[in-house]
Amino acid sequence: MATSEIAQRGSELPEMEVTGQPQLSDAPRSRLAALTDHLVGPFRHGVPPPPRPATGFYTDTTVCIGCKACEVACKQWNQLPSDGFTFTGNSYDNTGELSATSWRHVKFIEQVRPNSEPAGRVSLEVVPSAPTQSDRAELIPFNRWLMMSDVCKHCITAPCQQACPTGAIIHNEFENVYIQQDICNGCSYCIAACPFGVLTRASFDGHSHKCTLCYDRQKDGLVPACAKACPTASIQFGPVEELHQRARKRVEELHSRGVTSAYLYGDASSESYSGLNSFYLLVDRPSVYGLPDKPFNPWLHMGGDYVRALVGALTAIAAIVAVFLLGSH
Amino acid sequence: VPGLGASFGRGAATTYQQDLANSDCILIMGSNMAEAHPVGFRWPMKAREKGATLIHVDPRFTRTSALCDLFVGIRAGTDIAFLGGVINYVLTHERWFKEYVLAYTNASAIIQEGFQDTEDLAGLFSGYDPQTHRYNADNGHWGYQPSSSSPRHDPTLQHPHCVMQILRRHFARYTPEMVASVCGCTPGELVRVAELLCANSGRERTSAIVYAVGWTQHSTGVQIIRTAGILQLLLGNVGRPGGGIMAMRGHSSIQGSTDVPTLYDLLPGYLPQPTADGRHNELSSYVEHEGLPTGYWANFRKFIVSLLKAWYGDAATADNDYRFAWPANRRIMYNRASADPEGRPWSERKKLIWWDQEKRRWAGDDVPDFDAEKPPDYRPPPGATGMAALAGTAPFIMKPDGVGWLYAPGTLKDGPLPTHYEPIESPVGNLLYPQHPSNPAARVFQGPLNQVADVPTPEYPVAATTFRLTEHYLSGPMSRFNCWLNELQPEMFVELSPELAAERAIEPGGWVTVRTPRGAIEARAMVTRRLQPFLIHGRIVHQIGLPIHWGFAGESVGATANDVTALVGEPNVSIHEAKAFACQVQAGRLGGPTLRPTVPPALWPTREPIPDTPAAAQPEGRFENGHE
Repeated sequence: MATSEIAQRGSELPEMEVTGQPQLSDAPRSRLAALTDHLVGPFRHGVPPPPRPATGFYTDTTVCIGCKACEVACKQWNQLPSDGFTFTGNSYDNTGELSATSWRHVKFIEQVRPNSEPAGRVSLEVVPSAPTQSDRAELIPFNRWLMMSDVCKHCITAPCQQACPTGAIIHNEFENVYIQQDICNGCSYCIAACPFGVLTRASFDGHSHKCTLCYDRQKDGLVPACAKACPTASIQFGPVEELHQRARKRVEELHSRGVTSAYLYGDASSESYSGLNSFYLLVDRPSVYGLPDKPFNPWLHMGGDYVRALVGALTAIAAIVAVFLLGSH
Repeated sequence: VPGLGASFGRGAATTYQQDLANSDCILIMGSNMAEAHPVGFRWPMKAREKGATLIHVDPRFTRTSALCDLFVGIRAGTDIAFLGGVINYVLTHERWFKEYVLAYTNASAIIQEGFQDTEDLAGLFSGYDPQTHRYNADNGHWGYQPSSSSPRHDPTLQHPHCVMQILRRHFARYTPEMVASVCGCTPGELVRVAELLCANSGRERTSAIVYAVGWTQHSTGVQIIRTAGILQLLLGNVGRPGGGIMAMRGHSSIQGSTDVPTLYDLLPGYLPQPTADGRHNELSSYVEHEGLPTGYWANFRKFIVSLLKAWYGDAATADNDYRFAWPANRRIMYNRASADPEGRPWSERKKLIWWDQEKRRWAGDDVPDFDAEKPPDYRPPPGATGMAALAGTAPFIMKPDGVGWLYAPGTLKDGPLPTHYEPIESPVGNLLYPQHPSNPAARVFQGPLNQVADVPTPEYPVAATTFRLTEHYLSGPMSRFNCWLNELQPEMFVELSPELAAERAIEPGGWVTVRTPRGAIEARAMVTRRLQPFLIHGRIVHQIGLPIHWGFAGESVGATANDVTALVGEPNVSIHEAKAFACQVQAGRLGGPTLRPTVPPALWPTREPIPDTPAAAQPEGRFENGHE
């Protein structure tokens, strides 16, 4: 697909358009050049655009109002099709999951106790004056309706990119994970590799699709469509380093106000997984939000898998040889 | 609009949305701001970031509740009872802002002796005519003592007929326990809300109240807003930064209906529509009947002349010496009240405008909502008219007496004070005034297509309310044709509690039929703990919520919630009561023909390529690969 040319060649694009214009005197040479290009081109590396500071998303779920403006802005900018009209009855979530046609998905988690359980009610004590910080902590109701706008995590070490056999999945100059559609062969290895369930294959063209972090908008100096549409700045876009600082400050603030459950998910790497360029501020366990508590990069056990496969093969060969040797007696 | 008008003088919100960021506490009630006004909701969020406490009082736990520090669930249509409980708390615990109330409200005004309160007449004010179902304010002696008699004011607030004493008697029975029985909350929840508002009001702090059509669409809608006005005046929160009452508008035909205006009885700028009954045959008689001798409305003639000039240009011959640009770029209405009677800000933290003695004019961060050169110590000479009749301490310039009206002496058609009445149709009787279950002055248009059940109704035991979602717009005539919105909320549904679902064998996601005396509709069941049964006077009352976005046309079609609401008229503005009625709920479909989409559900709203854009730069998601 033509967009991947932009991905590969980046700022070269205008130049290409100029050279692509027909020039009569060069006709024989350009025919030869075209043939050479056709034969050699697939083996040639493009010129990578100069690297830029890594960009990403910081999603503060504590200020998400579940308006889904991000979902709509994403679909409109990227012209993604609707997923069909299905009433799920599962809170206000009717699109269900991230997919090849939904690159943003707002999750709704209702945590409301039945009336009969007194813990669901506020304390009867009266605050004597302006609420202090400890009062605020007490005010936080048990009843919660968590909302979270989910998106591709743009992992620093991305299993989908590692699993891709054709090199279609790359980290572009913004360190965003990007699928080049004309190189994707639809093998779906990336779908199995992603621990977050971000990827699926579109029935339209058989290719995997996911959030591009609005690569086209970023190249024009624009904020991704979802972050632009978010009315409460729950989705923040920017250089990851800056986002980290902002997010850590916010966690400290929340802690000082008594929201001690606030923490960042994916801001730093763990033993089993790299950091995420799209990271989250959460107030409950990751699994409550449908995120893996401890994401694991499948690449990490590849070495062991190879050794086990080798040992298994050798054992099998040894067994067969042994059978023949013993059988000949 | 008259709710705010009767309290403060103008029907508009007293503040602007951005000012909510300056609040220390925001009570959102009758509004689902995060869902219905998601962009404006950033300002309460900003206040919260700065440490403000956000409170949501609502029949349902909504996306707004999710973002607030405290949620209190109340039965739909009991807002006056709840706010009345807060007022009673403020008065009995002496938490009102004394200097503010004495200087800037009519608390000390003495009302005519013939006036009788609902507490005296078991649910009616004096002046009610049972034949016409209307009040006559003159016959009921609702007005101030006439100027001939004295005293007309009692600054000690002890006179039995002064507004403060009437107010205390009127709300005395709105105790936390009574409120809990009526609303279905706990007494502790009411006290908590009251205490938070008190703690965040006064010289140093301000609280704001936010409402929308969750308050207006009631047979007591105007009086609900009046209750909020009384509360904010008592707490001294009007005319000050971070205070006031924010009426969330922007729904088609709300603010626009008074500004454009599309209302049948108004001209632009809140000027009454001239009538053919003889009072308005000439400009002078129109001005004579509709204008007021004192206060800002004394400029009434200029308002109408300016409007006529705007319409007719040179053909309008009246001398246009005053331009009616409302509200003259002032951001906070009645901002004289942000300073004390001497013209000094109540506190450094909440200063807005103040009197500059050297320059002999008002200075500060906002345009003064009055004559910028009128000193605080100005006192009107006898017989003064217009703005000259208002003292330098009068913030509520649209009022003839320049003060906020705790008690509205004769401007509203259903009483000078708000009283709790049940909705016109309710499964529960009126615990405060059993003989008068509903607003006695409300208009009910009974007919074969608009039957209304008696209160309390045993046949329709479930309380119902309507609401809107972020994903659709108004009743959906635009959004139901957009697939990107339809996929987010694809079907008409009804929100109900697991307890009610279990009682009626309703499956989550299954079909539900909702019946009222007007008819029946079907919807899918959204079973959620966000809706909870209420304990009302010892009895469990279930409640459901119906979104208003569906109709017969579009890619997504569904039952119209307003098919089951009643056509009743609030006495002052004739608004219908969509936010509280009674129904019966059962599992299963309605039967009969089902609705079908009138246009095929689409994958894309449009697949036209972006014009003037090369193929390489067309959006990623078209998946065309060069062929359709």
